[in-house]
Amino acid sequence: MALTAAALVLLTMAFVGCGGGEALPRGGAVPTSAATDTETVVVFAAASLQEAFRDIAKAFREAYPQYKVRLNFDGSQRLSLQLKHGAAADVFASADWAQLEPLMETGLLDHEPDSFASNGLVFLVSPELWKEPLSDPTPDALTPKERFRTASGRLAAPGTKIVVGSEEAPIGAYSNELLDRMAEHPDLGQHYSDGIRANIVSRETSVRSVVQKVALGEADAGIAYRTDALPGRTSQATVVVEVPDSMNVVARYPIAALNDSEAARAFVNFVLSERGRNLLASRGFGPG
Amino acid sequence: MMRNVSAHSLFTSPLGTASTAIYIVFICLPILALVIRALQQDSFLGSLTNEQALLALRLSLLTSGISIVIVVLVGTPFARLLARSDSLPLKVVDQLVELPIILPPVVAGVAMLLAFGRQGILGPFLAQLGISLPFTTAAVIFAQIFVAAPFYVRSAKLGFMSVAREYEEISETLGLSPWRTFLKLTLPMAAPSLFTGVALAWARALSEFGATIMFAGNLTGKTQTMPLAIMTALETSLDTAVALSLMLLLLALLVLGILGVAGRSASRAIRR
Repeated sequence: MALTAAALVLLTMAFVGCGGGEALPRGGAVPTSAATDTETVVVFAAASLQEAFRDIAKAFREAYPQYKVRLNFDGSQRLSLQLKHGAAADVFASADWAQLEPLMETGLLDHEPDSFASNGLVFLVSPELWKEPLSDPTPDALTPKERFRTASGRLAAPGTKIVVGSEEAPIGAYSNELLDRMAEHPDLGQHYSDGIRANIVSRETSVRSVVQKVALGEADAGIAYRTDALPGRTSQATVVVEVPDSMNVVARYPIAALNDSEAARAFVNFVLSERGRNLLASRGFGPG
Repeated sequence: MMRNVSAHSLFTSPLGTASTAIYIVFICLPILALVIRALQQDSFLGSLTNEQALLALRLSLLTSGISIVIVVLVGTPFARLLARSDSLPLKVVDQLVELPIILPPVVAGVAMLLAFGRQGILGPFLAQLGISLPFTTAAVIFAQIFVAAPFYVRSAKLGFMSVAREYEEISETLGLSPWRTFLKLTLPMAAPSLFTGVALAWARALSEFGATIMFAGNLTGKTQTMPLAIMTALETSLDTAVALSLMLLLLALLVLGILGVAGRSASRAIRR
């Protein structure tokens, strides 16, 4: 009896052992090879592209029923790192060119990337901060330029809690550039950008976390993309302050296929096509 | 007896050897890889001594140290109560104590925001006192205590349960006050479990990531602990991240070693 039980335990353990050993390569090394008839395009895209790329993936599937699309969104710097270390993807759409450089160096890109969209920055401001100081005129009656100056003043005032992207993330790098430009601009000046920098309470890994912390009311303000201001991205109560063009940075989004598969090519071409550009425009992105 | 022997021989046989080997490879290889990679780079010391790394290290030691002191001060009487109580409400509390262990850390962070954040349940009350917790070093400590405390309380409770009630009763009939009984008898007898609890809870506090980034954010010198610094470094330089990881690993080994020695000497003292 005891022997049978022991043999059973042994058998079970051996079985589990084998199963575990087999499962590793299947799950780990080739996550894309789902056993289906349709070919799957795995797309790594910047966090800010979430809504736009969902639209594009849907339209793409209608146009090319033979392909499936799997989307993965995160800060571009994280996606780039994952790709460099062997993550299996077919297409990479980044929020800046800097994240493509390590991939170009290692020869991971199949062809020269194309710029497919552009974006700008805005301030997301909590309604409390927007209404608080009573000495200012009603913010809503201001011209866009005065509105931006008023907002900058409040962001730079001591005690304001501001969240931005980490310097590694595209949104953080662009925000840094914007603050530099504000410092040089005759309408504003160094003390505005110094004040804002001193008020930064957190550097988040992607623009999504910046938007979320302002929407939750935990931060008073954040620097995000213009496309984050559209309905559905942030809470309705959040006040969006446009940055005047004379100061705003132009964020250019590149896209590249990571292999020469037809599916990857088809997806990239679709994003660059008239239809793709229209879908991006409807989510607030400018031309590439 | 016979049965014991055969069960033992079953696991010292090739089966035991094979599972031990698999386990060791699985656990040791990644750690070994980290060490090899760290030693291969030329800028290893440079990565360790850059300002951001030192600030993160200091913050990690400070916050996890404060967290563990609070956990022990509050958790010890609480664990003693749990160990000896048969009341139903306390049994329910006992079950809930371990909830943070199974809760994903990010969920813990969201929960802390909803409780202690500016818009959280206690937010307006805290605001009246002029306190705003999110994005502060205090928030880092809150997050660490939340995730780490159950490890200490659970271990301490088991330690107190292992001290037979009769010993305490005898001690008290011999004229020792309840306080002296607790300090001279119960505490030393439970000490090995308490040290294990401190080690587990401290390690959990030191490695805390998800709740911290959610509730306290990520700012160098203020809320960026070692795990957050490693994550941030990883996005630009794998080498720096590896160096910082190794530093955290050595630090953890050092403290766990000290606690292990302390725990063993405590249990030896009891046997004497």
